[in-house]
Amino acid sequence: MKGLAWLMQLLTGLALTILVAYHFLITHIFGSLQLEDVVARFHELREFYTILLIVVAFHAFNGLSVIVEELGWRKFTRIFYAIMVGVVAYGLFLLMSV
Amino acid sequence: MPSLNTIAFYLHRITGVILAIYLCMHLCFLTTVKTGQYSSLIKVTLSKQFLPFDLLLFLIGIYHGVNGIRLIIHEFGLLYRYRRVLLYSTFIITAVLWIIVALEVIM
Repeated sequence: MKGLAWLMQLLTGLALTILVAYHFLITHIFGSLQLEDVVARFHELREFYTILLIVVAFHAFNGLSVIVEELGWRKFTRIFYAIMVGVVAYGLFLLMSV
Repeated sequence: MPSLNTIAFYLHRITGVILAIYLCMHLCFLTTVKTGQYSSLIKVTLSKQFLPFDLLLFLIGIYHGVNGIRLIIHEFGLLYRYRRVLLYSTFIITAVLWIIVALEVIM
């Protein structure tokens, strides 16, 4: 992993430690997983979940493309970026439509 | 016998793949908020039978996060002299955080 993708993997990884910890706290400690609470969080924290979705999707699928590249399957790396776009699009659709 | 560093490296990769798969499953699960099956499904995932999977997921997530911070520290050329201490600390911090989180979720 080199250049911008490498730097972004580090930065998104750092950001995720904070974002995921906050997500865990508001879902499992200070909030609940009941439907009303989930829907309320979708509405009240839409910006937070949009950022979390984009950051986590990039980190996950950029990471998978790196693993595939290191295994020597370089031509498959772009598939993960395509899946990343699909996951972000679907996640945003869910966020905006609930 | 592989070194602890090699084990940490492969664990980071394996936990990363599992978390990526979980991300997709999580989005599929959230689809049920829209389709109306969420309330019945969340009862299943909050049941005692599902608790071991939850705890395993927390362990995987905490390890990936703590080990990731260790890797970032070394990538920026910091604390390389203490790499062995940091490596052991990663496993200890993971265990401590996991116990705290597990107790919070169980109680």
